[in-house]
Amino acid sequence: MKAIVVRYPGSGDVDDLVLAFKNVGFNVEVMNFWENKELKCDLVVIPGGASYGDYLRPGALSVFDDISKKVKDFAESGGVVLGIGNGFQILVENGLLPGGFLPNYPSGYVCGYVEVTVENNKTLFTSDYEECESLLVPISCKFGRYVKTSDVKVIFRFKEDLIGSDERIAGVCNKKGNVLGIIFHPERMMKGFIQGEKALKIFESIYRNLKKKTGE
Amino acid sequence: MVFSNGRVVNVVYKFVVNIYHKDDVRDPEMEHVLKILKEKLNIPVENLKFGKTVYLEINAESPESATEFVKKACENLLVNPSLEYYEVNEG
Repeated sequence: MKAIVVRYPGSGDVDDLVLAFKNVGFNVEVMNFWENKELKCDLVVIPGGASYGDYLRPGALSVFDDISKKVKDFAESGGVVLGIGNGFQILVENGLLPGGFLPNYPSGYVCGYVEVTVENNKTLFTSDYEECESLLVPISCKFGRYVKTSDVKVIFRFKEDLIGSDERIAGVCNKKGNVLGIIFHPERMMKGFIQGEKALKIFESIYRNLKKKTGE
Repeated sequence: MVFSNGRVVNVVYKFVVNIYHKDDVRDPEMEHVLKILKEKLNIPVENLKFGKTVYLEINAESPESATEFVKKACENLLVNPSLEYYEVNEG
């Protein structure tokens, strides 16, 4: 089972993501945005950070990279895609997820831990969770206020209104159920004293479900 | 620009694009500033709107084609149509 982590200029958390997916059994490759290779894999992951310095709008400039077009084709043909933090914003700007992002409200950069609840555990990303299970996860964002523009499949919700997202939305999925965007950072609970089993179940769910699907 | 002898010369056209949040998207920055203007400075502000301004200089054959280029820039990159709308003015 292979996962590709796509690195845009300004992406962060790549090492943590590689570790998180290797830990559950994936063979992980990091692909830089300029590499013109095919996405021959079972899972594509878009990491957090600040691609292109968050110029214009977070994720807006990524739309013109060839790799983004490949990610779009991969998702539209049923491939599984996970976007974390800025990766979520990139998926929205590329039209793979609905909605939009604005600066946090109350304004400013937010960094710390936040409690989120699993709103829907009937997806391949969350099947290892109980419904309404709550988990403590790291968050780090300045433009994290999610604005709903149509009906969305909410997968995670903040327990408290921290950054002003509509309906406290912290993660959404597309209608098909193969693309998930989350604004928090479970991969940051991989190392040292901030380990958290609950947060890491998202990686285990993906692995288990993809394994079942591919029969590997 | 087309001269009487049929020669076409490109001209630089200047535009100012104003980008605003759509009215149904809440703007907390505006709400706070409006509150301070009204309550602390006693200025009878009825409406307040923040936006982004983008200045563009387009090298084109005619004002029509320059306007088309501006529209293309707005609709494909500068504006997020889910949350924003824009106005184009001559610069």
